[in-house]
Amino acid sequence: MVNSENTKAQMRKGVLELCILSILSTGEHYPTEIIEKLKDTKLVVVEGTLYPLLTRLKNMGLLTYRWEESTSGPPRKYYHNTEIGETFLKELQTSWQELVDAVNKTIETSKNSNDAANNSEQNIHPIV
Amino acid sequence: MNKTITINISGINFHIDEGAYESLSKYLATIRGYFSSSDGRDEIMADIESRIAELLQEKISVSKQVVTMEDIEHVVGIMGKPEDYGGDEAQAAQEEKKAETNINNGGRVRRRLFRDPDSRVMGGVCNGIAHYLNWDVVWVRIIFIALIWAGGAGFFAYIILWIVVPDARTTAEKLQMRGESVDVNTISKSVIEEAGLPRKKVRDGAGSGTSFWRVLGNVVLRCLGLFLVGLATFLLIMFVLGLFGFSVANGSAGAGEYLNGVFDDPTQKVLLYLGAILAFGIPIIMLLYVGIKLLFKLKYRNKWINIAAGLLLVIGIAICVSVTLRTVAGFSEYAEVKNRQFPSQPNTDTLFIGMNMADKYNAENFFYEESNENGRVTIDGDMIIKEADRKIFISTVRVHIIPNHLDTLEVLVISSAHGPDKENAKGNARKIVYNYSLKDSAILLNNYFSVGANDKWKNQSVDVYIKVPKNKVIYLDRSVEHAIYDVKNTTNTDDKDMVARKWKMTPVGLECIDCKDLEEKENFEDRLKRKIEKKIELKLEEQMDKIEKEVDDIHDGN
Repeated sequence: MVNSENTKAQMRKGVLELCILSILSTGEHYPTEIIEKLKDTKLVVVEGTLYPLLTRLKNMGLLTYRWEESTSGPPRKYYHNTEIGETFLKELQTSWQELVDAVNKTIETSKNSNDAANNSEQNIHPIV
Repeated sequence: MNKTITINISGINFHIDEGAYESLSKYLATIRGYFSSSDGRDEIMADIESRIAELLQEKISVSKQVVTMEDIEHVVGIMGKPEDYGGDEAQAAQEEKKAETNINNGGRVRRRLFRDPDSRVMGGVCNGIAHYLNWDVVWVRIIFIALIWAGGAGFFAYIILWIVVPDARTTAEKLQMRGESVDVNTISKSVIEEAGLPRKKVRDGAGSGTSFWRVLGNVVLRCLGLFLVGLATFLLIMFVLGLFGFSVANGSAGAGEYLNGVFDDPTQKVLLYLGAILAFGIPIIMLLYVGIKLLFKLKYRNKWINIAAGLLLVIGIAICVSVTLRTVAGFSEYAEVKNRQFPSQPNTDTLFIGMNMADKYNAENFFYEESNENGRVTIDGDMIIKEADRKIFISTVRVHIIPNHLDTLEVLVISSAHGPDKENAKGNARKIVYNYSLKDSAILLNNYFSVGANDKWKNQSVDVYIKVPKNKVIYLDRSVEHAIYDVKNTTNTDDKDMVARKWKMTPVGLECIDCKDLEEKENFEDRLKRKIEKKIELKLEEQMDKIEKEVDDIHDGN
């Protein structure tokens, strides 16, 4: 079997930014909350990988954070989108919608033709 | 029973099993190896560590106070194994790189040129090159040293490489330097190896850095420190010598002698010493302190030292200023005492004016600058010699020669001095004793006066006015050359040219009566000019006569 893991990782990587920005557009969250939401969707499994990503988005100016004292442990960083982040998110959402439509369409069409082919085989059968 | 270690993650203390600690620190070091500093490594690591602290905090309670291996495994399960970190961002990039290098080198991983901070002598350049070429570092060093004799090429090449070639900082970079592939296994292997290295090397690399500019900066700072220490030591020696008057080379008197001569009150002197020690000593000591700190790279900081030094400096300056002001105030008033005398009139035509060369102080006067021995002080151009019963002031007497309206010879001695008030100044002036003698139509002057043995320098001076009646002839001896002061004469002759000549007193000043040679010299050019003009005039007349005669002849011929 061809290594599908790498492809999956690439796909995940692409959409992860969109997901984080979407989550943060609903309000402030700290990393553990973000990961809880992402875990449901199986997009991220371990927490560690989220931190480099958040730092990168922050350095790009899409996110910013403020410190808040925590009752259990060190202070937490609460992240939220910047204005640039919101604009960026809108662009990503639009192109994501287009992409999903296009991909679905492609998959649908090929599925249909496959079905049609299968059906025609099955149709042939009774005749034989 | 297990040994536990106390560690601090994100500012929170944990007791942790030794084994769990090893495992956690290896885990963190491995993750760290994935990021370069440009990715924001420190921030990412801080975030990860604070999340780990949070997770561990949940795991401990009053009944379970120690972090165990299971807890670390739990944390790693949540945070993700080191491989997971590579899987997303870093590994994708590294895989691209690897693919690229694989193509370039036909399967072998391409080495990259870094400086090796772990086994460096200077900047780690030779080591880096040795890794790159896969040579023994010794040969690279030998080549560089050999190249130094090739017009310094080795030296400059080394400096340029030091500046241009980057440091291998991250584990990944160190692996690339040695030409090993960068993946989870190699990184964790090399992290473990590094942990085994002597601690000193690691601290060296992190603390002082190996960047060329930083090393150069250190060298410059140390040189500056050495310079400051040298300067401060020199100043300190000069200051102590100046203050306490140890004879250096010429045996000149120290500051103490001067101050004894000026101050009435000995406490003033002590105060000024104290002030001077603070005002000059403190800056010199601070210079020394800063120099030593720079020279030995001491990080020691104590604000109290600076505050105390500043305070003492201000006190010292204040003392100096107050003593100076008080001393200056002691000189604020000026007073004169006049002493008019009509000596017996000389019986010859010519009055001889000269110094009493039989007196040893007058004889000494001409070379007094060279006799700066102990017990002799020069204040503001006056030399003061201490004797048992009196103080001799040399070179403060001015001799004036002016016409007298009366028909007699008159000598007026004006003594002057300063003091805090008029009365005091007058008292000081009265203490001045000035002697001269007149015998056989010769005035013999002294170029010094004296005061009491305990009297101080009060800017005393003596002016001697010799009032000469009209038409009286005087002879100025060579010995008064330095004593006479701007003597008025009809030919505007300088004082120094007036000596060894005879002068006759007129209402407008002295007139020279044996200055023929001087006059001749002065008028030589004028006379020459007149002579030439006269000759030209004569010649012209002659010519005119000739022409007229010729014209007449022509007329006569007609």
